[in-house]
Formats: sequence, C-alpha cells, structure tokens
Amino acid sequence: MSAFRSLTTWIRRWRESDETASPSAVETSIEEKYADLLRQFQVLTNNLAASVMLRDSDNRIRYCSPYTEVLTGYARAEIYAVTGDFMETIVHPDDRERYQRSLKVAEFGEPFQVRYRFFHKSGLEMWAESRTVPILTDEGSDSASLSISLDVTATVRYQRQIEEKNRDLQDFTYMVSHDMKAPLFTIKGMLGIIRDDYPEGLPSGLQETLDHISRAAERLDQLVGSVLRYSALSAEDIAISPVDLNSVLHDVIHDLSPLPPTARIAVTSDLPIVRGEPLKLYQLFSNLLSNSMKYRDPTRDLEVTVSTAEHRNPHLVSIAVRDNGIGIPASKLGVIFRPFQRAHSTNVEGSGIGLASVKRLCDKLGGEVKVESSVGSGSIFTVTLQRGSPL
Amino acid sequence: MTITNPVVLIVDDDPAHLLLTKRVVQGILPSIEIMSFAKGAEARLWLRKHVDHPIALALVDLNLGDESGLLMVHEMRDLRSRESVPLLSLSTSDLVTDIQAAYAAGADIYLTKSLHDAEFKASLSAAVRFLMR
Repeated sequence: MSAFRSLTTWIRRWRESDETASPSAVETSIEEKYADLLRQFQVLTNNLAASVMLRDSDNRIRYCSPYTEVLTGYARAEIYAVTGDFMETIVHPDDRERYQRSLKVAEFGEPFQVRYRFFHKSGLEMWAESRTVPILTDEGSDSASLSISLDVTATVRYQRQIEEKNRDLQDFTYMVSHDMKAPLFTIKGMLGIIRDDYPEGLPSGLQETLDHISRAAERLDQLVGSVLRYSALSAEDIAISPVDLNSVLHDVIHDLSPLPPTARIAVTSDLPIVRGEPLKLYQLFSNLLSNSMKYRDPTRDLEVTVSTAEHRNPHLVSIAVRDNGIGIPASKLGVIFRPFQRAHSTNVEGSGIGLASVKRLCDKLGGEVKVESSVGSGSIFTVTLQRGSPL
Repeated sequence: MTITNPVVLIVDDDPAHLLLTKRVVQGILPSIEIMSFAKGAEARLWLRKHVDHPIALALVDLNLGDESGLLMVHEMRDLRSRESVPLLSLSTSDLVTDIQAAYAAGADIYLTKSLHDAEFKASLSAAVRFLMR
C-alpha cells in the first residue's frame, strides 16, 4: 500500500514544485504510472490466496480482492453494498467485541492482527486471521486501512485437536500415577506393620525378601513422583519477567555446594538478563549442573564451565554448560531429552526426567536446548533463551 | 440413663489403608471405640442415626470409591460443628486444589498419605494428639 501512498504524495509534490511543467505532460505521466501500479496491484491481489480489503474511514469496504468471495461466500457486490464494516456483519457474536476492539486500534493509526470466528455465507463457522494496517490518507483519498485476511480454520482445528490430546494425555498421566500411589501406600504400610509386629526381628531369609519389596516400592514411588512432577511442569503457567542469570547461577551453585574437592564449577563470563521466571530458570540450570555432577568421569577431576555465547538472532542468547564428564554415545543423543530415556542406565541414581524437564522448561520459556557430546571427553549443553530488557 | 462414650470414626474404602489408620489411632487411644466404614454411604447413615452420639475424632479418606470424600466432609459439617468434632482428612493427593477443597469443605487437618511409612505414622500420630487435646 505504500505504493499508493507514495504515489499520492508524489503527485502533490510534483504539483507544488513544478508549476511551470506542462499540465498535460504531467498528467499523462501520472496516469501511466498510476495505471502501471494498478495493474501490479491487481495481478497481486487477484492471485493471492488471501483476502485483501481496502476500507474507508467509516470502515466500509471500498475494494476487496476476488479471494474474498471464496473466504466469505459473498459476492463482491454484496460486500460493497454494506455501508459499515462488512466483516462485522458476519463475525461470530462471541468474537465481535474482540474484533471491534482491534478495529479501534487501527483507527488510532496502529496496525493490528486479530484472529476471530465468522460465518461463511453457507452457515459454516470459520476462522480468519486479519492483519490491518492504517493508511496515512492524503486529502481526497478514500482509503483508511488495508487488511489481509487468511483462512486459518484448518490451523485452528488442528491446534485445538493437539491441545485436547495434550490435555487428555496429561489427565491420563496424572490419573495413572496418582492411582498408583494408593497401592504403594498399602505395600509400604503393610511392610511397616510386619516390622512393628515382630520387634524382635524376622528370620533372615524373610527379612531379605521384605527388604527387596521395600526397595522396589521405594523405586516405584520415585518414578510415580517423577511422572507427577514432569506432568505438572506442562500444566503450570509461567510468569515471564526479566531475570538476571548471574544471580540464578549463583543460587544454583550455592545450593550444590559444598562440591567434592575433585569437582569445580566456574562461570567464565558475565551472564545475560533473559526472559523467564527465576524458579523455572533455577530448575533448568540446577538440572543441567546436577547432570554434569552425576555423569562425571571417575578418572579425572570434574570441570564444568558456564559461559554466554552470542546468537545470530539478536533477540536470543545462548548459555553453554560444558563438562569433561563421561560423555553421551552418539546413538543416545537423539533420545536424552525424552522422559525416562537414560544414556547410562546402570549405577547412576536418577529418575530419568532431569533432561526432559530441561527441554520442557526451555520450550515453555520460548527457547531451546541442544547437546554436543563425545564419549570420553564430555558434553556441551547449549540453552538458548530470549534476551530480557535490562532490569 | 446410658452414658455413651465418644467414638473415633474412620472412613476409608481401602481395607489396608483403614487398617493402617486404625492401628495408629489404637496406638494413641488404646481404649477408645473405633467405628470404621468402608463406604461413605454407610458412614453417613450412621451419622444420621446417631445424631447425639459424641464423636471424639473423625478421619475421612477423600478418595472414597462410592462417592467423593468431600461430600462426606460437607455432610459431617452440616450435622456436627467444628467445635464438636475435629475432622482429619486423608488423601494420596498433594495437589493444592485438592487440599484447598478439603479445608473449604470443613476439614481441620489435611494429611497426605505419605509413601514413607514412618513419616505417615509420625504425622498422623501428631495430628491425632493435637486434635484430641
């Protein structure tokens, strides 16, 4: 649309500055230029799988592209006949207020984007996403805004389905793990009763059997707890604010201390301010550092460094956590961020949700986590987060 | 004139959980009579029939099979005031919403059925002692 704007501005300037020019020559050249622009505009709008609309200051649609007929089911003549905003006449009643509110924003000269339901002429309920930009009008121009509207019905439908499936899955996970708690409580309680009833001790064979049951119940208890904590992570909302990662890392390292004399964690550069929630960022880095501590190489001192790395996108920033631990086999790299997948199943305590939680936390914060690793030399976990404005 | 001794009411549909709770209460109050119910409906029937029977303490599991334990707590509070019956609610859930709902319904204490046997016994004993002061 800036082409239209510059055209009208250009015409005005021409008229003001060059009064000596032959009017007919000027007009011919204007007409040619205008006709050329109009052709370009029509080729574009006629072939776009989106509805392009030009509205006047009363929001009446003065022009709309052919696709508008496909989107709404109404003929263009019907659309032009409506004296106010045509879209407002077909918008879903529940979305009308939101739609009207966003239209007001455009009246103040700000672009807006809105997603709303409307009724196709056939009666079908559909979803549209419209982006409207105000047009700075010169005197005499009757265009006040330009909107481009897309049919997002299928997208919204898929999104709903995914959300619903996620909710079902979450409910299921919660229910299953919760229902496991009751029988577990029974097993452990009954073991306690046996111990209480035989204060002088049990025959050694029986004692050993009971100890096995007790340990198995303990392990199951930990697993159920992990599943519940992990599923709670996706249900929780995060309140985003700027967070200084220096203080987060300070707390994480403080809480891991005292470190064994053979382990060192160093923050080697000033860390950025990112968008997030202090507790979630604490959990994220606490999980990563605990992970390095767990999977250390017993033959050498553990060195962990935390440093900032620039990201190609200036709105993002990466933080690298590098260790010289045992490393992760290439075959396992693809699965370590999935819950209950462990690269080293033997002799290291863990519930298998540490790295899955890291990934889920990164997702929630609008970031990501990547890993590079080689067996024997160590791993680098790179967390990318959104930069926060200075505190 | 008959003197009715106060009883302790335990409602839990899981027989093993009922046994565990009962043993803890018996350990603290060895001579008190315990009325135990596996179904909320049975407990509510007893409550309606014995409106004047003193209750020293009620322990109600919130995950009853036949109905919500919350309903039981509500009904108990309709029939007996907070002053007359201390009410301890038990659940495997540690969800904040479940805990809030139990207190809103009229529970005096909410106790999670902790999977650590010793911890559960210790907290249940302390709660019972506290409510029986």
